[in-house]
Amino acid sequence: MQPPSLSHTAAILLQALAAGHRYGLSIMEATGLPSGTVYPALRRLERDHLVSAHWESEKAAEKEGRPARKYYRPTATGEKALEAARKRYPHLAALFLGPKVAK
Amino acid sequence: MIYLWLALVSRLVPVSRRSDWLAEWLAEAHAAPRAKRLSFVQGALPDALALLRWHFSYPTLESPAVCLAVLASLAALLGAPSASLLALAPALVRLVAPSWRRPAAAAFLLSKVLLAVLVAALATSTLVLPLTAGALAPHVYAIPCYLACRWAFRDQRKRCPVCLCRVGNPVRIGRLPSFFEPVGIESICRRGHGFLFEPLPVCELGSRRWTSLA
Repeated sequence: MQPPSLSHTAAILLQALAAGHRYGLSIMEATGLPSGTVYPALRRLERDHLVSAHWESEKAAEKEGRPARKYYRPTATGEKALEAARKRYPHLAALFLGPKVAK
Repeated sequence: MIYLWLALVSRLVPVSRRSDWLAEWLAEAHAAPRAKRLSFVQGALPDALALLRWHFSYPTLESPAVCLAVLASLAALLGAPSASLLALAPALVRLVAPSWRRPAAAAFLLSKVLLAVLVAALATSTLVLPLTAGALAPHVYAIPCYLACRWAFRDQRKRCPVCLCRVGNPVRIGRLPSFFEPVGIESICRRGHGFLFEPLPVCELGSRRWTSLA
């Protein structure tokens, strides 16, 4: 099956997710995109099954003294779409190097 | 303050996703740097609006055949009472703008409405199009065009029905509170055709009237 074509913003978001930025605020910091762009774009990616989301455990969050976060990660379809986008946008693969591993 | 804003905006989010949405935004706002927290939570509004739009999408109108069928049904529904509306039209015309009754005034009003709508549409395209990267939904034009029409009709009501010039020299008539006399603004046609009395919105006595001096 042909992977879906991504918009530039969606490709940047997927690239940031693939580089280890797994939640909205971290993606915002990495990409410089505002919250009003990042969150709706994440919802769209989730709706199109390009990313999946899961909540971290309360225990893990409590240890760090903060509320539990919602983490996103690319699905298999998302990975394929990102690969196609990297061919389309050659500089994309070089973005957000030095992955930040989500806890 | 931030919680209140998020709680308020969360009312836009469909119920099935609301608690999840609010929990995510609260968690993220908690982690955001204090100085940037306020600007960060502003993004909650477009996010909530996006979810709302998806929830209330119009799947039935996606197909061209269904779209045409829905429009035809609407036309049929609206067509039935149109005969009675036509009977009411003269009364409506008298109520809305007495100056329409003359052909020149009607032509002037029609031209004004068309030009005002054209200006509003062009201004909307010029101002909004660069912000939306070339894509502009038709409904974006609705409010400016409505305001343009409203302006054209209101402007017509401020004109002399004989020469179509705007009335001027407004004088306040009556005093508030008044139970026995109308309170309003009286303006006169500078060419001497008559004067226009418009009651103040707070005064229930009297109605808009044109007194001819010719």
